[in-house]
Amino acid sequence: MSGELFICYIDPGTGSFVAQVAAAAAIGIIISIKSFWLNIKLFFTSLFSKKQASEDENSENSEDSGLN
Amino acid sequence: MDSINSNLQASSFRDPSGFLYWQDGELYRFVDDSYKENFEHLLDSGLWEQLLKQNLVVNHKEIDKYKIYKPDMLPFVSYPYEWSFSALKNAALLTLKIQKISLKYNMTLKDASAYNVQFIGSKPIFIDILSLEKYVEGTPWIAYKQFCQHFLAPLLLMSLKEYKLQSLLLSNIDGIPLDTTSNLLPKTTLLNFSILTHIHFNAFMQKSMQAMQDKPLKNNNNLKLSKNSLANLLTDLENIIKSLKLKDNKTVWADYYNIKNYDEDSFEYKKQLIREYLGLTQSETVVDLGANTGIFSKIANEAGKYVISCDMDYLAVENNYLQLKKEKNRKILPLIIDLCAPSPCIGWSCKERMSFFERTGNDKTVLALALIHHLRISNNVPVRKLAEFFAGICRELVIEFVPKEDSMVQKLLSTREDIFNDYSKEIFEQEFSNYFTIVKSSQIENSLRFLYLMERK
Repeated sequence: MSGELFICYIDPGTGSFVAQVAAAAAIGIIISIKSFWLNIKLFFTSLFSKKQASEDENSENSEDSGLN
Repeated sequence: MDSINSNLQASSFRDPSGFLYWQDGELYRFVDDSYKENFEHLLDSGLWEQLLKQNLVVNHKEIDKYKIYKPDMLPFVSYPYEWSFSALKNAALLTLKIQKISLKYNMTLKDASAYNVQFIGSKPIFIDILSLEKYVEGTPWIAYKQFCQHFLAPLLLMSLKEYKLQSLLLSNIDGIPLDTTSNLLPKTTLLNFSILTHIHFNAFMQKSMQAMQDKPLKNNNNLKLSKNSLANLLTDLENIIKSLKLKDNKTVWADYYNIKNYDEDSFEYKKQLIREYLGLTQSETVVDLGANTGIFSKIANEAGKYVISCDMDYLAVENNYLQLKKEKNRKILPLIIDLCAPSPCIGWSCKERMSFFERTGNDKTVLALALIHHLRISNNVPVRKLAEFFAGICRELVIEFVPKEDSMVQKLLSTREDIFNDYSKEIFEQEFSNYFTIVKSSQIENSLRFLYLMERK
């Protein structure tokens, strides 16, 4: 089967095959960039929210201490 | 085998994996030995069960294992050039969905023809089970070009250029060529990544490779595509198709009932009368010609009929389809049919795709409401010819006669000389009586119009 990979009853068009492989590669790159960007965003969001959370915690503690 | 060959379904000859044939009025699918390995995988892998469970494919009853199967009969066969924009879009999404599921079971669609999808009411269903074959890791999608030609190209042209370009599907039985599509699409689509790759670049590469025909690629097999990349490609096609919409262009007919030609009571009376007349008809299928957005098709459906709801107006049919889809209706099939130029037979030997009236046959019930004045006055068909025409397409006929004094006919006559001497109630009844028995007739309350129930002699 693999030796006759592209023998089929419809004409898939060699040009279309090349275009398909190139399109899939480009889509792959876009997906990688998107997921890389998403990871950076996530990293900073989590960093910021951690900072925010620790600040909130600190302020809560200071408020607590104020109450005490 | 000779008797099988003589009863072959005319469109079933391209794929050597098998064919459809008729025997004693029933349709069967013959599976060739060359496809057996793929068929075993389809059944044993659980893919077939999965596709059936999700109601994506037509069920096939086993007659002789791996050899002969009997597919469930479809109520009516329709073609892509008769579907509304959203119907074609749903057929495309169904094809992609089947391809995505198949990949999980290590199978792939070897063709992606729009003719492999049919509609049961508003629901698309895949009919060609022999299109599925074993997937070989690394192989690009063989049917990619065909998918782009049959689905992506017409949808893009309809959405971004002009919806009437769908008619290009009629003159291009294997889908709209990508170079034509690339030329017709607005230049701004070059800035859209998906359209740029699937259409413009695809068309460019095809052209470039054709130019290199004297120096073909030595080994196609160097072109590899991982399963993951193929899945991403399918998702990209799915996303672009899902994002396409038909521009909100109002046409005369899509807005017809909002303009209101009847007062409420008269409209209700007409509905009641149609309900009564259709209740007296025998055929299980009604062909509603000039259905507009399908108000009277619904009444036929309520009377228990399967309705082929036709109109020449693209947007009226689109509205009809969207409404039926929302209601998950499986009994009304909306189609774009121009009665003055109905779908002809096309394809190999002019038998591959049948004409519209070859498919409806001549024993169904036809509903022809607010139609005859357009055929007589706008299209200049003499009443005698109209009677002959209707006698050739139906056994029972529910028809509305709209006299010259009616405001809609006056409107048609306002821009032309009245040369229509045969257009009167008396001559209409006389000419139609040559072919039909008038079973019932009644004037529609508060209007000048008449409704008839006729039976062919």
